[in-house]
Amino acid sequence: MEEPRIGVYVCWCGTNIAKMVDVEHVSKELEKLPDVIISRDYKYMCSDPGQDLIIKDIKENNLNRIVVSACSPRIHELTFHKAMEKAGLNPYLFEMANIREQDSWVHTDRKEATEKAKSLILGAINKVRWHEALEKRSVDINPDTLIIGGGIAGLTAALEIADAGKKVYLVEKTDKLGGHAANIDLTFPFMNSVQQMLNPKIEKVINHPNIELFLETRIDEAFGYVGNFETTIKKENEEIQLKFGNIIVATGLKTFDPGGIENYGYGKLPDVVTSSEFERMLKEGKIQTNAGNDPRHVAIIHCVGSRNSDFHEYCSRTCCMTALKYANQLRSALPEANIYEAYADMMAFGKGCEELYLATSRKNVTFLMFDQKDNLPKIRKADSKHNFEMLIEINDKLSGVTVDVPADLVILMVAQEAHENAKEVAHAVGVSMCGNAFYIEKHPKLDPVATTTDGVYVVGSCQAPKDIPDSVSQARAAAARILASISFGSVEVEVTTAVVNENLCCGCQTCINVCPYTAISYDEEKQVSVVNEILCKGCGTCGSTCPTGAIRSRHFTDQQILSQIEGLLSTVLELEEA
Amino acid sequence: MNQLVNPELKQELLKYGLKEWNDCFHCGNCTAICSLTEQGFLFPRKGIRALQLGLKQSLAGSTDPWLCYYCGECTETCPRDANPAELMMSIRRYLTKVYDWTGLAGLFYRSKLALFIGFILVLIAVIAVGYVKHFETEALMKFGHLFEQLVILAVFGLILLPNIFHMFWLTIVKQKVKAPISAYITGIWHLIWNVFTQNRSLKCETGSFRWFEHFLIVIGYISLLFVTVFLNWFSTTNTIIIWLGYIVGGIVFVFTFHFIIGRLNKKREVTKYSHPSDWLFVIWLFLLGFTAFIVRVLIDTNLIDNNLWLYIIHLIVIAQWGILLVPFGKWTHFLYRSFAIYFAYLKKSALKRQGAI
Repeated sequence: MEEPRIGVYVCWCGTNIAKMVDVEHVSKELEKLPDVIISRDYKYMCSDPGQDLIIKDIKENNLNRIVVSACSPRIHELTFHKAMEKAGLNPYLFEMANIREQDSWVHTDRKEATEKAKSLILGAINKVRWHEALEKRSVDINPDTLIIGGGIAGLTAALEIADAGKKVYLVEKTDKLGGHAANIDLTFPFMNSVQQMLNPKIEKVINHPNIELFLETRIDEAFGYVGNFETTIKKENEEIQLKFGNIIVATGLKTFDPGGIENYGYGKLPDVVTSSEFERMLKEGKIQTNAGNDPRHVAIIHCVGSRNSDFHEYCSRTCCMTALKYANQLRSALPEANIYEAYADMMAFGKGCEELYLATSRKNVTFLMFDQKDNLPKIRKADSKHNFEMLIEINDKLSGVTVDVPADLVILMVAQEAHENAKEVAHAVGVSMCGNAFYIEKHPKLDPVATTTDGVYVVGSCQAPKDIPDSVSQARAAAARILASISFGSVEVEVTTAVVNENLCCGCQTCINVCPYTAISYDEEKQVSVVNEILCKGCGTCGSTCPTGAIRSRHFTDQQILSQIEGLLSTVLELEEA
Repeated sequence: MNQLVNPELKQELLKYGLKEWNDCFHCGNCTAICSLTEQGFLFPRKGIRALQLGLKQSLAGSTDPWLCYYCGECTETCPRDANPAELMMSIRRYLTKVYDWTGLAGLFYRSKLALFIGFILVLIAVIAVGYVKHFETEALMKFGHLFEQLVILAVFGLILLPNIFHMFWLTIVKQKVKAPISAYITGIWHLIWNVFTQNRSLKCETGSFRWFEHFLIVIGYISLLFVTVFLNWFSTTNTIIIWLGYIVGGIVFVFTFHFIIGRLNKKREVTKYSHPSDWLFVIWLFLLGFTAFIVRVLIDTNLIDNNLWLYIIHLIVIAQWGILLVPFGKWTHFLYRSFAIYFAYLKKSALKRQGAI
């Protein structure tokens, strides 16, 4: 191994670091260390002049290891990797010490913070000595895409990709396209007809030369990695092999069954219906009670199964506005009827929604607010002396009075929940699920359509309850991501992966059980574990569980980590003496 | 037994000046900013809620709407432009209908035609009386004086007192307010003090001039009543009484004239929204003071015999005022408000006894 020639750069980050850490003192102290050729401090290392400083030093002083102590590597590691590449140095010969988030921002004693900064940088210097140059690798991408689910999100994504000239396999488990949207009459808040939006899309998908449609079809486990997946799909008794480069999961969700909520008497009282059942009435243009009469009192109960720890803690997001939409449709269909909206909180976010709330409230709709936690409304049959069918007892939060609401028809705004077979699909394509069985995106804010498995995207309501515009945006976003990767032709894969030393491996397969990316398989012939370097993310779980030390995580070797710890625990003085 | 939510009540209140009721989303700003609301008597928000849900018993059993003097600050600061002050006013109008056992108060609020017919009938009746008395000044004035006394007695005894008892029944008995007996006695002082001074309104943000104007009109009105009915102003020769009558009559019509101008200008919250009942009240009060003043001027200048028609007009105004507006119109606000303060005092004593406030 060549003699390390280390450059250390201590960033001020304006005053973010400099006000709590004596950066000048730190950089001077570190210069005394063996192998540290240059040690500098600078206002903003991430700025262009800051990067140029490193590039110039590498070239002039023949540096072969770089340590930048600044902010979190999440923010700027890539920036410095690029600077090193520019200087002709392998970017993996670099280490970052985080003296901002882990030091200056969280401490109040300047002296101690300065000492801590030294320790952190010493750790980084010790680690970088053992870094090896690693080569980036890329794989070709199969330009075909598999889309699972033929709802509004799946249809949109399919058309987007197919229109760009790329092949799409669209798999739908039912016998028709359109998903939940197909059951809806009008959309909130602008009351557009869903059929008018959806039918042309379905027509186009069916006839599109680039879309191969599989109805009443289920998928088996997908194998492979980004750019090169394959799976078997089952249609009746037929099995078809498909190969594709990317996957879009658009499996949607299902509605909550309110039968379990005793207070609402769903299933027992004939005129208590769910929002899906009422939507059907609207589509048929016939709003009637079970007995065939026009209802004179219609009550809409929000949050059925949502925002309640007994059912689902989350907000189902679309029901409040759907309920307001119902109030409007009811007002037009039954001008004389009394309409009641019993809600827990009115979730009127989004374009045109607060306006819809105000406009609805002006259509002689009575709003009642109930407590979703302790005091659910209770529906009971009315006595025969009343000229309505049911009474709903509601503790109105805004008046503190318990009142009875007359009702001939009650609409339960049921929650939206993940499919019962969400887990199956998750396993088949390798995405993870949150506690509510919705799929987890890579980053909730900055990467909301990708997943931790490269090449697999989640769009629409399988990720969380969503309205049509959000589902469509996600679908288009995922399509754009996929088209970009197809047009690039190849994809870079992680190089900081695990490798198995076959001589040390005892074949216990512990690593196979712990790997979250199913990247390790067992070679029966050699009786050793084998890492698929394309699936491996380099998380290090296998390395730390391996009882024989046969697995080495590149860039995080035992040697590197132990040296880093040694550095963290030492002082400048000790190292100098050594 | 829970109260039944009744959206139709809102439809009914439309006839009492209500315009929109669902704009309020219950932030509570109005109650927070009101200088008259207090623990146990929270308004206007609670009243608006009872109105939105159509809780008849809650509305009828509450004295809160009468404790508001309509300074309009809640409306000025309402983030939703829900106009809480005017909502309170509509509730007050509705309550006069609830208390009134004859049903006429409600009828006159709901039907402008009925009110018009009432005014015409009274007008015809007065002219008929004039005809019967052969349009003789002395006989007519004698009749007028007797008529005033009888009307006051009848309106109080047959209509207003039963209505106040009805109000007591709804707000105290049915609400199960258990006030100590002593409160019923000490409260009387509150009642009398408020009837004459209306000094609670001084707490309002509208300032002391509005209170002073009201105070002068109330004192002027009561004094004019006293001077004409009990001191027989039109027939007296006592110079002091004559001058007293001029002064109080003048006060009534000058200040009511100012009120009318205010309602026309609509510069302040309180004068922005005028229901027909508000117009009738101020205009007839003005006419009352003004015609009385003119009649006495005519008597003092010995021109009354040639201008008897003016006395007849005065009599028509008085009859319409006394028979229609006092028992069934906005005049009752003055009475119910005063008694609401008395009943609220009882409720407060009861709450204090329970340790609730």
